[in-house]
Amino acid sequence: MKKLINYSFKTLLLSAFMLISMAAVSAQDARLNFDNLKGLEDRARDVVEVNIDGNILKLAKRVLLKVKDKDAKTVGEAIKGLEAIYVRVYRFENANEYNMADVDIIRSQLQNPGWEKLANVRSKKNNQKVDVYTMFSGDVMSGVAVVISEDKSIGLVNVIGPIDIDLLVELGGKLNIPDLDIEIGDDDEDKKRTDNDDN
Amino acid sequence: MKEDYLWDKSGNDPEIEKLENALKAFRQKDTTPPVVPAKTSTIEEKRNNPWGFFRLGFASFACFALAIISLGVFQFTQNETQSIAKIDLKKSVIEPVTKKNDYIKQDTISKEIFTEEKQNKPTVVKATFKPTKKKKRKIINRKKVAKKSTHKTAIRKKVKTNLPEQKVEISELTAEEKYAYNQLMKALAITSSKLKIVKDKVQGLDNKPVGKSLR
Repeated sequence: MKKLINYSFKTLLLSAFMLISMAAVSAQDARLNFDNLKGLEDRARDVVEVNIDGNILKLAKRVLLKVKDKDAKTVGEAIKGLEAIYVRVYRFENANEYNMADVDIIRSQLQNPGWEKLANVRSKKNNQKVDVYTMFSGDVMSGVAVVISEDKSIGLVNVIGPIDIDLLVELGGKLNIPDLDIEIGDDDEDKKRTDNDDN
Repeated sequence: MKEDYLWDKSGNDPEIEKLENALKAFRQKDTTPPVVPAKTSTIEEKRNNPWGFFRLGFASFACFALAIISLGVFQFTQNETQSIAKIDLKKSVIEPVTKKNDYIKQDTISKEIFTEEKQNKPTVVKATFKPTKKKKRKIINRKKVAKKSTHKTAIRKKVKTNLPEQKVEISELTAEEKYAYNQLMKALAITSSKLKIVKDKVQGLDNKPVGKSLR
């Protein structure tokens, strides 16, 4: 009996150790920490902060099925497995009003194991840096992270769960969104910049 | 050498006698039995334990079951922490949106918007149906019973309807649904615009002619 107890205790310790290691690995989920950017809210001219997860996301998915909208069904399909989506957009009045180190802290989180670089674009125009990372659990996408920083703006998107990126890009511009000057202005300013550069 | 001495010890043979005297110490002594050593090691017999075969199986099964249970508890707690509390829209307070600082937080809603929606009272499309004869009789009977009964709370049986779900306009959604829908659309619009920027940048780099810089 004593031997049985000793033997079981040893195997229990081993399984506990395995569980802890598994927990540590699974704790590296696709969620990014944006806490260090809270200080930018006071300095930015425009701030957009969107956090959708849990009950709100479930409710929104149900609404997509209910609503009479051509693209709602397509959007619903694109975000079928979505678990959460976090967005931060900061626009500043003048260039270099924020510390690039704050954004680099976010980028450093993407160096953790699990994240794979999908795209990396650097441009000296407006000091633009674009990073797109994805995380996979086996064959299933478990997260996407987009970090775009320029002289006057920062854009961060963190998607948790599988999402159809191509479909989402196609639907861009067609989605029925509420009036939001920030995003509309974003496209216009980009167009102006490209026009000026071409000239 | 005389052979008779070796055969039956008759006669004298000095050489043999000399050898016998030399080896006298090693002569066999039949009278004293061999001495048993003080310390003896005993070999334990292995008991035939009928449960010994299952010992490993029981232990491994117990560990496996414990691992699965703890994994399930861990997953459950992770899901709980990811979900956010329901937002009570009635109690929320606005921050007025100014020209200088167009700041819109996720967890605050405009009181003005909420009160406007309350005043407008969006109409909800209710499912209507024409009951068949049998159902009409049931309804009539039920009404009679309800009249007869003196109890204030009459239990009514729900009539099942097999109508398809009707799609509703965005304006007909409740405040919570509209808020959730708008927030999701906002997030997806921003996400798609950012991804489009990336796509355009990457395509722009790919489309650049290779030999342009070599002049």
